[in-house]
Amino acid sequence: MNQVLEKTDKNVNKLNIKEIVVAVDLSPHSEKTAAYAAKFAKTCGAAMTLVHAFAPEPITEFTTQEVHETYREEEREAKRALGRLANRVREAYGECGYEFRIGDPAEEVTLVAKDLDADLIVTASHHPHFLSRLFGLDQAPRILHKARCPVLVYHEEKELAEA
Amino acid sequence: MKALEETKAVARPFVNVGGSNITKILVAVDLTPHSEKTAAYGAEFAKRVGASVILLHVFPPEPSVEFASECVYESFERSRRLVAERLTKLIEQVHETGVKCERDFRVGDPAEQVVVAAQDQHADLIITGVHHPGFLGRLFGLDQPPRILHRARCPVLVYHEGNE
Repeated sequence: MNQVLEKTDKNVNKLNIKEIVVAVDLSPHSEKTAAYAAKFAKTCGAAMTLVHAFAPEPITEFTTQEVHETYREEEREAKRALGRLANRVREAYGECGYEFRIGDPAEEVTLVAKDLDADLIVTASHHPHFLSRLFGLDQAPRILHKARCPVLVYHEEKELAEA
Repeated sequence: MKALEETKAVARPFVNVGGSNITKILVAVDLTPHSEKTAAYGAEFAKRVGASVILLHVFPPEPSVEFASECVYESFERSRRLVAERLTKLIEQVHETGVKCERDFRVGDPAEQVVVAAQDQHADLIITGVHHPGFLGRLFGLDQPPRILHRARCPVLVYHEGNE
């Protein structure tokens, strides 16, 4: 056992959190998640990247030009909202970039984390009901199972008390 | 879309980013070889943010069936003592890193007890490990981190040993 622990300590002593990926869904809770991550990034002197994955356009034979335009406008608005959130984080902590992706949130977040060789992923959980958890609508456990680096799931205690 | 509008509408200044205010971390371990890595990660993490650690292990409850003999009870007690000793050794190891470490040993359902312990100890963060079980293990709730995640009242950090 001691041998294992000695080996473990050597590995973990190299622990160096330099890149943090923060998954946001652009709900009001996202700002609190980003703020929590920024506090932590500042403590570690790490850079942080906000990631938002926008759902891909549903293409069916009934998709009209109008539906397509609405989708494109929503996509542009999501991109702008992500940029605004990153700017707000930068007001308090400068080392913040952002990445806008289209696709499955858990997949895209873990891909960005892999691309950036992130040391930590920060995401939020909204404490959904049993059925949403069963059908995988809560992204936090999905990110947890796909990620190859530690994942920090942020809960806003005050919000939980109100729920 | 409504969520986006709400984000856009926020005009107050961004929260003061004065550094992490994590002062107490609960590290939940199942005492497998992976938990030694989780404990070491927890200790290093605590050192980085200037927090203390509480190392917790939850032992499953004694199976109380009408056929349980004295022998079964003794075996249960023996296992419990053995596990408590392993937890003590792990705590000594964390102490050596210079991080203040306390011990918490409980009996019951792991996810429930971790959450109760975090509340009792006023922990700012729970750290636990993940073993990447199969689909069925996850479906039947054998994987503890998601269960902890959904019950916890504070942030939860799930540690993966990247190269495993």
